[in-house]
Formats: sequence, C-alpha cells, structure tokens
Amino acid sequence: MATSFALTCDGPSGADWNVTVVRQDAPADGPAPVLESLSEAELVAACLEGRPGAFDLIVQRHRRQVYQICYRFMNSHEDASDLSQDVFLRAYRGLKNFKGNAALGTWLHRIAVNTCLNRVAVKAPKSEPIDDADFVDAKGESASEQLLRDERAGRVRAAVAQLPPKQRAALIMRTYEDRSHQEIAQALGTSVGAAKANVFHALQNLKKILGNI
Amino acid sequence: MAHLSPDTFVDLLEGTLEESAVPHLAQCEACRDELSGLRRTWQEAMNTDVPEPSPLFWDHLSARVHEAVAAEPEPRRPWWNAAWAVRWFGLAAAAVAAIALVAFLNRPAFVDQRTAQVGGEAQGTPAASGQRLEVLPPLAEDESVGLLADLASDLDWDAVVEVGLVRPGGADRAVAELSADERVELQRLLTEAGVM
Repeated sequence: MATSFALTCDGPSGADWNVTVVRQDAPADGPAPVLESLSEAELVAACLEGRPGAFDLIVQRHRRQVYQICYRFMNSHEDASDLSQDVFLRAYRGLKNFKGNAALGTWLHRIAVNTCLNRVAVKAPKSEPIDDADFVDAKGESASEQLLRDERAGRVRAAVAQLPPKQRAALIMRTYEDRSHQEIAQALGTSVGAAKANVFHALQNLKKILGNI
Repeated sequence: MAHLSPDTFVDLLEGTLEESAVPHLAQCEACRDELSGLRRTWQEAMNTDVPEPSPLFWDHLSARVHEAVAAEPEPRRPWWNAAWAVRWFGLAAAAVAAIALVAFLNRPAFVDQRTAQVGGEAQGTPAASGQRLEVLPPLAEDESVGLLADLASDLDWDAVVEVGLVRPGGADRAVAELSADERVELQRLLTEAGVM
C-alpha cells in the first residue's frame, strides 16, 4: 500500500488557520493492468518503467507498417527486414524522447523514413525476384493472373526503388501512407512546396521508367 | 505559353483543384497528356502492394528486435520526469526556500549605494530617521546568494515548470508583495546581475 498525505487549510488567514493532515492509503502496488489493454501512451510509459514485454507489444502492433515502408524504399525483403529491426532499435533508444504529441505510429513512421533515407544514401536498393519463396499468395487468384499482377507490381516497385531518395520518400508517404504534404515536408525537412514538387517529379520519373502503361 | 506548374499538377491529381478551374488545360494538349500520364502512373503505383511475407516472418522479426533490444541499456524517463526527481525537487525547493527565508530575515538593513553616498541627508530615508544602516556587499560576495545560485544552477527552467514547482504569475505575485525598499533592492540586484 502506498501512503500519501492530503493537507487542508481552513480559516481566514495567518495564525487562525486550521491545518488538517489526512493520511491516504492507496492500493498503488496492486496488480498492474494487462499490457494488451494499455493505450499507446501507457505502453510507452510501461516501457520506460521497464515492464517486460511492453516494447515487444509495440513491435507487434507496428511491425507490419514499418516493414512495408522499408520494403517500398528498398524493394527487397532482406533489406526491409534488416531496416525494420534498425527502426525498432532506434525507436527503443529514443523512447524516452517520445513526447506523445503525435501518435506512436506517426513517430515510428518518421523514424522509418529517416532510417530508410539514411540507408539509401549509402546503399543502392536491389530488386528482388518476384517469385521469392518467402512470399505467399494472399489473394486467391489464378496462377496466371497472379503472375501477371506480380510482374506488373514488381516493375512498379522496382521503378519506385530507382527514384532519388527524397522523391521516393515523398511518393511513398503520399501514395501508400496517405501523409499530408505538410507531414512529408516535416519528415524530409523541406518546405511544403518542395514536398509537392518531389511528389510531382517522382511521378514524372516513374512514368518515364515504366514507359507506356 | 507557360505550362502548368508541378504544384498545379499535384493539386489536379489529388482533386484539390478542379480541371475546370484551370483554363490552360483546355488549350494545351501537352499539359493534358502529362496530366493523364501522371494520373495513370499514380493509379498503377497505388495498386501495387508490398508482397506479403511468410506468416512466420513476423514472429521472426519480433524475436530479432527482442534480442537486439535486450542488448541495449533500458530506456529511462528523463531524470526530471521521474517520480523520484519530482520528490527530490520538492525537497530541494523547500530547502532553497528555507535558506532564502532565513537569509532574508537575517539580512542587515540596507540602503541603495547612491543613498549611502549622500550620507542620509535626504529626508524620509532610513538614514535620516537615525537607523543604523549597512551597505550590502556586492552580489558576487554574498554567501547566501551564492548558495542559492549554486543550488539553482543545475535546475532546468522547463523541468521546474513541468514538475509544478512554479506556477504562472507566481513571480508577479511575489514582486507585488515586496515593500518599496525591497523592490528597490530587487531592482539593484537585477541590474547588478545584468538582467535589467
């Protein structure tokens, strides 16, 4: 049981004050709430308090989103997997700086974009064969339809991965993450006008790379 | 003829600008073709999913992150945000306040340096009324002020506000409660400290 004291002052002023001290016993050491029931802010607080499993749950909730951003940047499962791990590691290290002003997902998204931008600055993305054994058919299409669709999608993903980093980031955030131009500008450290121009040039370059579609 | 700007193209693509609001489009085939090509390209990009990895991958990723995180030192709240820091700040603030109060109550009577120089000739000054006056030493030599400065030097203002040690308007209220002489001395101290 945790004990606290409440102080109450009554009376007009000075020496006439009546001071009442009340001891309050609160069951602060009761059973901690189940992690799954915690909000994102509470989950972050639980991580900072060192509760086991709290950060694992954050990873579990956001791993798909983070992986997909990384995949779109790198067009490679292997790179996306490595980058996703980096993103979460950076997030863990920076968790104490998470202010809670934005949603945790938005914060992680920004870390992911920055991590990807840093990575593409030092490493050209490699394309991955579209029939990679790691991937599964989730759509229930016929084999030929699936093949055609995958081939088309593979061309687009490879084309996106060839774009200059900022154009790529702007296009990915606008097209797949539905981020506003303002958010893109903040993430890239540019003006809103420059963010829009990046989206435009990304589409223009994508059109050139893909040819007539 | 000036063609459409990237900004206008993006607004048209996103539908925040109606084509009818851009008369140039009706006159310029190049811009119409460009818009149409960009629209098709964007649509194609939108329809492109990330391949779904094996279901086992997600647990594998979580396990990798778990291992990597386990090798890291635990993240902690910033020290000023921790519960112990709030309690510590409370005690430190109480100590500072007590020292300040004692120093204030035990202070010698003071006069402004300028007042002292005129030898208490001015009417209505403490010197004129026969009180024994003592000119305070310079601020830098005052031990109590030095102690307060040392205690406060490590305190970050944002942190102090965050833990509720100060309240908005608190300084104004404190100044309002000072006597005229105390305000003069405060002014002198602030001037000496280079704040005013």
